[in-house]
Amino acid sequence: MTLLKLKNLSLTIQDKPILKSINLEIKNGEVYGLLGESGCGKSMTAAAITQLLPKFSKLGGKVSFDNNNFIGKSDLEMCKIRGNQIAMIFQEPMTALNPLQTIGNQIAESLLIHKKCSPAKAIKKAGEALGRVGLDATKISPNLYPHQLSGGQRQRVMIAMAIILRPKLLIADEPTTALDVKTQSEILNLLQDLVTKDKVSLLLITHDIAVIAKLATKVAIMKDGELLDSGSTSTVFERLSHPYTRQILSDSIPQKLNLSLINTKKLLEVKSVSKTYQRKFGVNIFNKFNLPILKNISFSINDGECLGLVGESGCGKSTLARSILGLETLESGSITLSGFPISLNQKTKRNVRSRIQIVFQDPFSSFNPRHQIAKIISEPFNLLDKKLDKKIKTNLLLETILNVGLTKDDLIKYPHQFSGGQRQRIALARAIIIKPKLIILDEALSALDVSLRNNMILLLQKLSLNYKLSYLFISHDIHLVKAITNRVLIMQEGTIVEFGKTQEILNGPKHPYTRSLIDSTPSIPESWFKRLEDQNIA
Amino acid sequence: MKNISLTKKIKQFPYIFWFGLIITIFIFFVSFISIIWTPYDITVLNIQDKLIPPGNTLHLLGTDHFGRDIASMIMLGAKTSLLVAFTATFLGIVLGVPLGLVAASRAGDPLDDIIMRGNDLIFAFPALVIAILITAILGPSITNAIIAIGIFNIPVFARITRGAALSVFTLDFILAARVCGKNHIQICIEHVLPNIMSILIVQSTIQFSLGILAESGLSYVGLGTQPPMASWGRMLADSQTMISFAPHLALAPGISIIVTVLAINIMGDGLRDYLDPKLRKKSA
Repeated sequence: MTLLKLKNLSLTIQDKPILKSINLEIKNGEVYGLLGESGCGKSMTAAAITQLLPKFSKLGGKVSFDNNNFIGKSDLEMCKIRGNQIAMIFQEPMTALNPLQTIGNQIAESLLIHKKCSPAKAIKKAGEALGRVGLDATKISPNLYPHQLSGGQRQRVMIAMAIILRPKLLIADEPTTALDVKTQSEILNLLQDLVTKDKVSLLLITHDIAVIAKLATKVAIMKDGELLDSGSTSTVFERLSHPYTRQILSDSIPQKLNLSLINTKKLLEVKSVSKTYQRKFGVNIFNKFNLPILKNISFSINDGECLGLVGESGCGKSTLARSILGLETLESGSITLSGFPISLNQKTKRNVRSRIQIVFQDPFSSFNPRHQIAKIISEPFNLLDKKLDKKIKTNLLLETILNVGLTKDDLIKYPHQFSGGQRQRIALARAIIIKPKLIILDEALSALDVSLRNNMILLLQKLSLNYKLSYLFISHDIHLVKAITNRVLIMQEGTIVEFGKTQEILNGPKHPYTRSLIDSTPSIPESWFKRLEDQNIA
Repeated sequence: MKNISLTKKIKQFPYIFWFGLIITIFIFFVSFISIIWTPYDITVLNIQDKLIPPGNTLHLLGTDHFGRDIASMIMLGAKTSLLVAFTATFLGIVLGVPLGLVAASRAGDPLDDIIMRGNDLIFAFPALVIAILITAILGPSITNAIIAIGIFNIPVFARITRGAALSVFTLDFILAARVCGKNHIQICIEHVLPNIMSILIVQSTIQFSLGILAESGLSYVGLGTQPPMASWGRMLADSQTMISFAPHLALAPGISIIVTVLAINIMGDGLRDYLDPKLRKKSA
């Protein structure tokens, strides 16, 4: 039976078309995947269904839910449906919960709004809902506050909030994008269970084909506010009738990074590095405890290679990166770059520091919004011992910006005028301008759409040839690490559990932690690629 | 080449900014004129001309109960009020912003605690009471009024700077600047300050208007401007016993205060929009 039907749904915001005649049908108890890149209108489709649209938006067409047209309904009528029959799960579990309310109260909220129910009973039901999402009632009581939970647990609480009234339709907007691989697979399994047990329909909005492959029975592919291809997931991806479907499938295979200049000379050596953070407990300044963050870490990066660093969030990856950059004081151990020590307490020489640069994950916060691109890119000149001639500087700027695939005119623009992909190019330009030896890529490709990702990898390859670079690639994406790194480090809670050639480790993991990481990474079925290969040959 | 960029720059400001700027310049101009010339000498009493309502050909804004010309007093009062409010705000910015930046860049250190608890110490006293205390110790004069009001602006700016700077310090571009070997002072000036400028500008316009009011308050209790010097606050205070039969005595300084504060606020808003590259494009 059809639960939700969108017919010729169109949306304009301030006369700018956002959605163009969307048609889709979701049946009872079905997982419907909505796949598309950022800005294609996926989230706006969800907003149109729940009628939670921004100001100045105009809807056209029909949204019928249970034979009920939503368009033209007053907000008051919609309030009775939202949370009761349609519920939503958001991407960011850190900001979607109110930090000042207990999770029990937040879960019970929709119960108190929609059903006549005493607060005590509502809290009891909230406890039951926590059990349904797999949170042990003996450990996670409804009286806890969000900050006492981990990211995965918070996402479970979000799901509990959504399902407490047993809605007919769940809308999950990128439910696992902000989570680690292991938590991601747990949450996906939980969603799958809920769909089969409770017969709810799930509209799964994501940019990740692997997530679609794991959960969705039907899929619709979106681009620029239009549905390009839809149907049952396996037929859509096995038939590959639409060129865009073929394109995103082939884009989601990460480009291989071929580094030809590898030699066995050691560039960076990290020797038994340890680091402990001192944390304060509440307001009492005398009550401190030590949190070991790096425990006896040793590894090295060879000249010209790309070393992968894989681990969950909080395992110390970022601290290690900052230590290599010379921004952290080390407790013990040493870090040397071609023989020169790097450390905050030893006052690293500027010319040593100028050989290591970094590219961050978030392309939006890595530039000062008040500076022009030319000023942003020329910031590392500060590290050079002697002041460069103005003419040489301008030439270098021009050469660098052209090298990363941008134009001369971009130099006088401001960061907000660029898209996410272009910003990562600017970040790379800033990193390479003083010709460093090593670039740390801290999740630098994670925020990018798949179509841009492969271009970036090609760019990294070109730059490594032109500038004789080595990379330290920090990521949690196993597929990506497999494609672009030569050797890999697996890190768990501040220690290195496995270190060796990427192909050997990821194809035959020895440590149980590595194995669990690989197992929980969702992947695209091999059968989908067959057709792609056949078509490529033909 | 330079002319083209100048006209471009003018266009980048929202028109309301120019409105505020013109009024502000006018007020400054009037107060400068008052140093060398006023229509009448306000130290000369002319009792037979007392309480003339506004609109008179000789006294455009009327006269007060001593027969002094209100327009002349407003001109002289503008000088006092602007001098006190501007210097006090300036004092707050010059001392408060660096303190706030130091505290933010050393967040968690004892230095941060020392600076911020010092600020709390000043905050703990009611502003006007301590201003009265200071002027009472140092003696009533304009300079002491400036010092008294200015001291209160320091923790205001220090606190707002620290709060805004802390959130900027967590962003990646600060780390990128550190990777580029910049020290804390360079980072504060190049990266933090431009990004908190809009908040500081808005706060300065607020502190400026509060400065005018604080000066009025001090003058009212006799610790600010001393007669025969005129100030808007003093004029307001003097007029309140006659408000029922000579409302123009209160209206003239009152409207002057409102117009000045409004003009400076509008100018501040325009400046804030100009400094933000994102908003600049829209308003152009």
